[in-house]
Amino acid sequence: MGHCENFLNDLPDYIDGTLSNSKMKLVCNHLDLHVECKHLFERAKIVKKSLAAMPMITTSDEFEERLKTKIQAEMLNPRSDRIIPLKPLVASLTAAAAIAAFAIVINDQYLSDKAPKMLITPKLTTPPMPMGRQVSSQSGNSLNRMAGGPVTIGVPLDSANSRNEGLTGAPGSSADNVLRNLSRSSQMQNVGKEKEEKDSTRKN
Amino acid sequence: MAEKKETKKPTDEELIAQFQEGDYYAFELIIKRYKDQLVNFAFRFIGDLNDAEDIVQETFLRVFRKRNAYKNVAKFSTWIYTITGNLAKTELRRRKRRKLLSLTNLGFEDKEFELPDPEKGPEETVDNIIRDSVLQKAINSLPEKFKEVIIFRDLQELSYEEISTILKIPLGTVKSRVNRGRLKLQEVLQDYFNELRD
Repeated sequence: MGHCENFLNDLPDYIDGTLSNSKMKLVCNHLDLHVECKHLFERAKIVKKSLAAMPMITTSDEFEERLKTKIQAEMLNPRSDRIIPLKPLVASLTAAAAIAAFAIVINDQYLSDKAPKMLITPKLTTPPMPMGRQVSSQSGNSLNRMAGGPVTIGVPLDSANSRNEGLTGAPGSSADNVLRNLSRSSQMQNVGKEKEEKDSTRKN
Repeated sequence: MAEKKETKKPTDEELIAQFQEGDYYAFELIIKRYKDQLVNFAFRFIGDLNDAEDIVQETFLRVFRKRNAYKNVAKFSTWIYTITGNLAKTELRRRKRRKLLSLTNLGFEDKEFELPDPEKGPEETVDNIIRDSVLQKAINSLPEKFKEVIIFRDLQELSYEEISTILKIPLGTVKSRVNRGRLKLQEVLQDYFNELRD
């Protein structure tokens, strides 16, 4: 049994003819004595011969052309093999961009809802006139000072919005328009005051 | 008298060294030298010529990309066979996963590994083409660890030492696997050999 195990260990080298002379003699002696091992050896030899006789598979005619194309592409874009690790980065950037876009849309909607209310001052020192709104901006205090008090613009909110005429902070109106109109109305008031003063001095 | 100029064929290691210095012609020579033997190895390992060519193309692309990773401590053949072997193993594992996922394909692929009916006539069995296909199917049916050593040793005729380096296993393990691989092949091909003997 032990001899058979040793034989099996030496079989590959025996078949390949790479065993030392002394071991070669031992294997030969063993093969003469054990018929089963001899059959095993014969079959292994046939397997080896059959495998060696198998035809060599060769590449197709276009193999080199295909490879050259790939290599040229590789030379033009040497980091092309690193595209795969960038995939998660691209995905996260896309997600971030989508979130940012969503936030902008929501913010715009919020501003369009809130903007008129923000531009129209809540500071009312005199009761508001019907169909009009008191207007104040961030510089409302100085405007009040210039105009000598809160300014009432007699434009209905809805009509101002629909006509896009400014003053009410409707979408499309600008703060400049508001300021210009406000200063014009305050100038008118000042002119009126001056006239009254002149009349009173003439009477005196 | 015109002196005969001896043109010594450059070794693989010399060629890769030239390629590392930017000589693309050296790389072309490497391709010409290795393409057929690598395709033969990959085909015997995975049993499909198209996939085998793809694997070898990928092998050369990796050699191109990682040319500077090769250090002249091991033989170039060992390095390139290691790359092809790893790619071929990956392909086989990918197929196994696909096979597990697709239960319907199981029957067909199993049939492909069936050995021919031993009751077939002697004319057919003697035919070289059939013999090769029988052998190929027998190789395909071997477990991976035996298949790779058998192909390296009996088809590619690499030395045991080279196989040991490529597969990163001890020399003794290579020899015992070659032995057991051959015996397994014998078992698979027994009917075939019986017919040959008759």
